[in-house]
Amino acid sequence: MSDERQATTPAEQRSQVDEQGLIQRVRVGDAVAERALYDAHVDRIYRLAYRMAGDDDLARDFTQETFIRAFRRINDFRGEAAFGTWLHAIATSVILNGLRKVKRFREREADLEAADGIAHDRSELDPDLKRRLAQAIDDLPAKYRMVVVMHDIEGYTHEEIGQALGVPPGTSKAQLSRARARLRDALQEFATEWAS
Amino acid sequence: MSEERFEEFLRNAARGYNRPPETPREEMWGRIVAARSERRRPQGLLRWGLAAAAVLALGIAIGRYTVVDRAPASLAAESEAESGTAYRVAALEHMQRVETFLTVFRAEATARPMESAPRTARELLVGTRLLMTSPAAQDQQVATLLEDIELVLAQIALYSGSDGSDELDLIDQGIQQRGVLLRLRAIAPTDLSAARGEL
Repeated sequence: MSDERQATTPAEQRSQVDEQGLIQRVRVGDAVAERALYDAHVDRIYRLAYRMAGDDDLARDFTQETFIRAFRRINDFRGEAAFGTWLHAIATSVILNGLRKVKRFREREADLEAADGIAHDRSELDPDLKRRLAQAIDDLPAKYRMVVVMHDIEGYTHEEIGQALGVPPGTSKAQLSRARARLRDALQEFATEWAS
Repeated sequence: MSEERFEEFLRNAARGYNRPPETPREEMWGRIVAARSERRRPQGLLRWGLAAAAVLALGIAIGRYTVVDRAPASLAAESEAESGTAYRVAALEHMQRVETFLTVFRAEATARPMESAPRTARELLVGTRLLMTSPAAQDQQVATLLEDIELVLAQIALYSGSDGSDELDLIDQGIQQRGVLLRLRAIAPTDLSAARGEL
């Protein structure tokens, strides 16, 4: 997957111009323009939210929250970056904050369950590689996981990831490299799968 | 070489990680529209409320101007205003906790038993009922939301967790029909920062 930015094609330029028009209309309360912007971006946002949350209700909540915030703050969008980039910055913030809340709550629930003596046993090992891989990705710190999901699974470039997360592309590359190293360690017993 | 192979393996193998279903466009759009219109409506009411409050404050100020000893009354008014803001901050903080709880409950309860959920709901219910009888409930938007939260929490407080989906469906319907989560999210957290700033 190349991270080099392609020169903007005429079709993309046309689409950016169209989008600027839509944004102007959204600023004056045009519901049709809101829907058009939503339609243009909702798939990528929902896919990212779902990949990170692994749960439909949470993914819907995160997606809805992203668009609600974006429309509410549309006057803050200055057009210096593409609308999609700005929207992804909101989405990654909503997703990471939302997952942090859920994690804190789950830890509290786990403490309460342990205190009640009704803890669930989650220690069994699953020999299936896919499940182990999923578990290893789940165990990554949220920001590393976001980079793995965006780059290796959803195909975003480091440039796009950097803009969404508010970090330089080099940081995104470094985080991906560390995340892959962790995954590789976690899956060491399956090394023959990629060595062969 | 081995690293490149691992990257290739990872890209292929991870494709199935939390594979998203088809985007539920229409359902999400419906909720976005509902939440945004819900947010606009109270703002209109709030503007009227602020205008009324301004007229009232002007009347009070004129009245006080004619009174010789103004200090105790103005101190009392200031203290009352601070107390009102404190209740509003408490209400908004409480609503943030309820929002987190309901979000997690909806996500988790269908996947695994949540034995402690009724207890958490009861704790939150106590706070909700206290706020319903506090000055925070003088704000109509807050009062209506607290009433809806009370109903949903009461349902979860009675949730047995044993016979599964029917009970959960009813709770979920309650949350959705009243738009509780979206209204909670529409209020927090900018309103909370603003209210805290007033203290």
